[in-house]
Amino acid sequence: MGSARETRIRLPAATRTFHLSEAFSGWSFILPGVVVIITFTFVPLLATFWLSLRDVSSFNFPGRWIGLQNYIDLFTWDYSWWTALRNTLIIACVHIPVGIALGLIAAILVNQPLRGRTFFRWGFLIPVSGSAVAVSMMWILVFEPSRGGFLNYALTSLGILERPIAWLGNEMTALPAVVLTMFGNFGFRMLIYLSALQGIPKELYEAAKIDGAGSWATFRYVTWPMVMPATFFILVNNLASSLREGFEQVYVLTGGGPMGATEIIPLSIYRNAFVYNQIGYASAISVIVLVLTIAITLTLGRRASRAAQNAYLD
Amino acid sequence: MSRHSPKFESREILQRTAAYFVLMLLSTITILPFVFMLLVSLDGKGEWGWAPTAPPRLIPDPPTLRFYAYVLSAFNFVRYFINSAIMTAGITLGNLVFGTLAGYAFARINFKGRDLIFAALLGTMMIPSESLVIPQYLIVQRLGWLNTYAGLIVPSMVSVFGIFLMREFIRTIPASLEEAAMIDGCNRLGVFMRIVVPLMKPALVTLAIITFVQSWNTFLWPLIVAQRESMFTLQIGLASFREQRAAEWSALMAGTAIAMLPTTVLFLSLQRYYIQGLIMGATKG
Repeated sequence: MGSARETRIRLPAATRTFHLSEAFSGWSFILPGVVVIITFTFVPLLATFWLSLRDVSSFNFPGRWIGLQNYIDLFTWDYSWWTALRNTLIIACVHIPVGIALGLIAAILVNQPLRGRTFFRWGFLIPVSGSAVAVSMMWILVFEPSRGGFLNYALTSLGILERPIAWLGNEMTALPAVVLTMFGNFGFRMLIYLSALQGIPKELYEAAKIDGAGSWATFRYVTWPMVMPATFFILVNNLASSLREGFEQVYVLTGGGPMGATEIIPLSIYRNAFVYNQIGYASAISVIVLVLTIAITLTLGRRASRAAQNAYLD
Repeated sequence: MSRHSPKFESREILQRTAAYFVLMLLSTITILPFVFMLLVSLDGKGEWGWAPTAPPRLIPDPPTLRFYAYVLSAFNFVRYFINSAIMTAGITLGNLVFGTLAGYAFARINFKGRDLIFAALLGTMMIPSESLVIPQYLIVQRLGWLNTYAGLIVPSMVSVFGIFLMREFIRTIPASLEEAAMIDGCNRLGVFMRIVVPLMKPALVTLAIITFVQSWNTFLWPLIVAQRESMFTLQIGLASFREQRAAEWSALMAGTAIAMLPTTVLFLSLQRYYIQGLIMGATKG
């Protein structure tokens, strides 16, 4: 209280007349942004919940109130929803740990004084800087189903495969193929790990060397604990985005097929809403994604980003 | 003595070899598909270029740029490129202007309800955009903005992430300069334009790159809003080209290269600005 009084005394009288217009300038500075965010975030947020409780299509708007029927239908007799849920979980369980490992390995390697490391560092960023659609086009080329496709030719001439495989057209291989293309997106994780690695004090490595630690022990007892905040940060962010990941890849590579083998949640939102015109039903899926994502972020996200900030940003 | 013993050196060589081996493995899922794409797009064999023969052709023979010209002229990729450029420019500009304005107000100006509004905005950063796409589409449709640049740009023109990033940056600038200017009779807008904006260059570059890369590469929203072919962005045009001309590999890969070019160049040359914003931006609370 005392300090507030002191400030007031120190400031010249002119600032007090400004005080009136402070509220005005404050509001006018934020107004355009707030209007857009209300229109395209807050209103849609409420509308998604509202739509999910209605039987509504674009011909029949706003439809009628049906309570939780969309959710009941989803879980009781929509086979493709269960497939989408299962595939989304499989992708998350495989992609997140492998992706983290690839990011860390890449970061450690390009952080070594190796010749050509800049080349690799830049090259590893290509898939995350280009659009997911374009990167998926490259993979379509790699997965070309005849013997002249790059992957098929490599594997048949090495004797691993007897006959070429239609990677994206086969129920057994389509999902693994899609996940493989996602593995290529470790660039961001590599960058985050790189800044984490560069923040580790050199003395720790010197001390480990004096103690006679080998490379595995150094990794296990110096590097790994020191990059833990980064790992936690990446893990939580990937978990939070896992329910919406992969739309572009699946849309371009397989369209969700064959026979629903690569059906995933974001694709079923898109298809139910904009192909089958079942707006209420698709909104119910949206609400589930929304609630789960927010739950993950609220329980873990705050801590993860704070840990990362404390560790790597000043 | 021990540092240069043969045993030490051979171990060093072994480690080095293992490192390069792993780097090569990682390249097969990142760099190699990119190289294949470029080689195929340049292959001028016959009328349609590259075709899957065993063994697959690796060397463009004769090398040609005609498939780039072909997709640009015969397939409207020029139009798609312009649409992508307008959309990206609009979204990026909007984020810079509205992000700094609001970020400044939240950082510096005291007014009633400020912290409450800011907290409400921050809360929306948790929301996955995919789950709002349906009502957003209905709103844009009611506004008559389907197949317009407004429909592509306005919903993404302001991001809470941008506002937050700008606010954090402005808070690191000492306020004393602004106070001095205000005592001299400058109003808030004058202070903002003359003192704050010139100091914000690094933050503006960071926000511009992140927004540019994101909006150039965005897919779901233009897929829904740009239904007419003349409004397609590059990403939509590329996906639709593939649906119609799956067998024209060289042309498809030329289109892919064109769609990747701007963001790849930008990102690779300015990546140091990217990482800080990336850590600050994701899941903020």
